[in-house]
Amino acid sequence: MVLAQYAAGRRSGGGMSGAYLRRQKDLKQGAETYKNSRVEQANLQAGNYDNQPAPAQDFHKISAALGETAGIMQMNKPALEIVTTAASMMVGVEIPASAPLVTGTSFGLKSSVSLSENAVTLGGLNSVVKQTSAETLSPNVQKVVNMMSEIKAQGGTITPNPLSPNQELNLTIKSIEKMDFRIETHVVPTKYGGNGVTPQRHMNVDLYPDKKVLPNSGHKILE
Amino acid sequence: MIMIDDSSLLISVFKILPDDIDFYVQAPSLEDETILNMMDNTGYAYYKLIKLDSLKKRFFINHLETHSAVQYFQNIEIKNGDTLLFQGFDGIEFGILSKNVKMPEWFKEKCIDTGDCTISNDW
Repeated sequence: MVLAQYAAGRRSGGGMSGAYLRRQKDLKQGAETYKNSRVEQANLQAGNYDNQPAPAQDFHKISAALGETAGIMQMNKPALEIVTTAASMMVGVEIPASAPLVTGTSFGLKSSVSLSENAVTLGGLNSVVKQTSAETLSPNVQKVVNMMSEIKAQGGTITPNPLSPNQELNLTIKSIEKMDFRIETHVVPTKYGGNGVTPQRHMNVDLYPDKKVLPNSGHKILE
Repeated sequence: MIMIDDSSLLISVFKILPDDIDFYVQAPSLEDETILNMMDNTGYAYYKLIKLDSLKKRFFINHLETHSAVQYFQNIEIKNGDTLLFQGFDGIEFGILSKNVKMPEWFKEKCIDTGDCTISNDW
């Protein structure tokens, strides 16, 4: 439904006041998510999680990485709520005492997040939904699960794609419209905010069939 | 005939490369049956391979000029044997050309001077 609303908004131009309010909400939520991820990263660097079990430490690393991405996305691409919340899914996950941990590989994440051997790898986003029992879901995750269910109920899919060596994340979300969402590192031309010389970690949001409709053609340089 | 603008850099690159080339492409969202039928699997889960010769290359260029497919190409590598000739990214709006490829003036003006393509210092 969200993608459909976005598509309809793009075609009609959308209501000015509604768009403004949504933008403000997205900015606020995105900033909050981004801030929380930075706090998480600071805690990691300070060693504040060193005394926790390895799966819990993995969770904090994944949470920090995905939360930062999600926050940036929501601040910069307010219409792409599905991707934002899908990527921030891990942010609200509460780790059950003896349940398997969902790992970053479920999302196609790799080298930027170090995963311990005792973490259990699941088979993708759909598995995440199935594996997480109702009593362990935070409101944030429940919201994502609901959205994913809605996408799937409409015949949509969320597919993690095989990663090339320069990619950390590669998802295809297919609903009313199709979208690719990637985090990768390579040279980015100056016209898209890169330096045009050295490889830069960045995010790509490709909304088909015309990816150029997004700001900066869907490119966002990351730290 | 409708010309597709987003294939401009890639087609320019094709024009300055040899005919017999291996075209490795990562395009998980591509639904263009003509191109999908040209693809073979590779040893890499993320890459498909299209082996081009003079005839296939001409057909491929013509197809790209008239169908909106290049925007689905997330990453590509064009090789001649083991020699890397070109790397392209993000719908091939940007790429890196081998320093060993002979570059005509028109390509320099159209692709290098505009910042759409750079020359590798390493390969």
